[in-house]
Amino acid sequence: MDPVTALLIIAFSIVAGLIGSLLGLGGGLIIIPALTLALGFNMQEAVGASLIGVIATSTGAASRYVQQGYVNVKLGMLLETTTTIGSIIGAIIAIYTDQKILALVFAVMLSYSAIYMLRKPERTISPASAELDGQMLDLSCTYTDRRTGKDVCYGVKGIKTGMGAGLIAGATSGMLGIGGGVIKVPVMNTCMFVPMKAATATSNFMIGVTALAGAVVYYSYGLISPVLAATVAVGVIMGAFIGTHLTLSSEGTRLRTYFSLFLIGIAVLMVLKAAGLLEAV
Amino acid sequence: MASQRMNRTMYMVLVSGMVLSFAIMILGLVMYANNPMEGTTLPFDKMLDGIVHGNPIAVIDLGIVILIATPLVRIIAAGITFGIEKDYRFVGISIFVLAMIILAVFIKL
Repeated sequence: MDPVTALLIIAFSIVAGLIGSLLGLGGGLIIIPALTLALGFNMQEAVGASLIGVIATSTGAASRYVQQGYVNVKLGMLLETTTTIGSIIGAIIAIYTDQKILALVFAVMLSYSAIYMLRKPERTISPASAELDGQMLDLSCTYTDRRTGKDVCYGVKGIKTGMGAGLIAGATSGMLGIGGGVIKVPVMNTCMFVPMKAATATSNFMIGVTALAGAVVYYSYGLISPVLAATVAVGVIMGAFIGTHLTLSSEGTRLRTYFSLFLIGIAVLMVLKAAGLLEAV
Repeated sequence: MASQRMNRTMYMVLVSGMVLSFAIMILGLVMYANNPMEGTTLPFDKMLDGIVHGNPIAVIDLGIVILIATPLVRIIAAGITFGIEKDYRFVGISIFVLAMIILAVFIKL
């Protein structure tokens, strides 16, 4: 690897880590096209490096978010039960389904959540009203918003819906090879009434676990190119460092807008993929 | 409500994994820049042997392994912390997540 390529990889990875940590995503949707389309790596090397990159984003971002109290650990652990089952189901049905149709379905889902999040304002509920609703678990959580200095205390509703959506998020990541943060964040924010900052932080906390099984398998088959993966990981950790600082000082509503616009961008990529114009996503 | 103990434990696991893997990967990449060589991910025993002999790829591999291990250790640490807090429902949830990951690895292998 020549020094110019190495620097470009680090630059792309910093961007992936920054956006990933800001929006609760793994950054695979940035790393994979950057490595394959822009730098000419093959798909397998890119996916291997991306899996390591996702774990790096998750670890880098979640360490800070959990320290600041933004992560809802119980909610994350609970949703991980269905995302992990989903990823197993997804990996199995991926063999029997057409990737193009999947990409189209996914594009429709993303556009719907983007439009929903752009049009409807964020709603949160108090822990008391979640309790009145008779939810099966108390997942209420409090964090101090660093921007306003105020304590935000919220309740979590729609736990069953959230777990069902976790199954779909996991299955999609198993089928399309993406992290699933693009599904988890809107579900937590719109169906479960989790404030945007807590939703992105909790998603960042979870995606490392989603990528874990894939990373172990790739590693044991020797499919990870160590120098490439480590270069990506180093860049991503630096990007996550910047991204988490930006999140802590930015407004939740603005994050929500950025997130929706990013979803529309991914939906367009998925349509291109379905049309056969883009192989590298 | 999220407990202070849980947040502190998760922070310690994640930040140690990040700092350790970051430092080792940087060290490995610097060694690689001075002594470029071909190589892929090594099995654990060969990796340890490689580190002793100053093989840059083996050092990078160690960093990657620590990074991959971080979310795994995080689940186990969460399970133990839930146990200390006598939140047995969530101990069960942690064990379930761990079991699913092991199952996923075996299915994909």
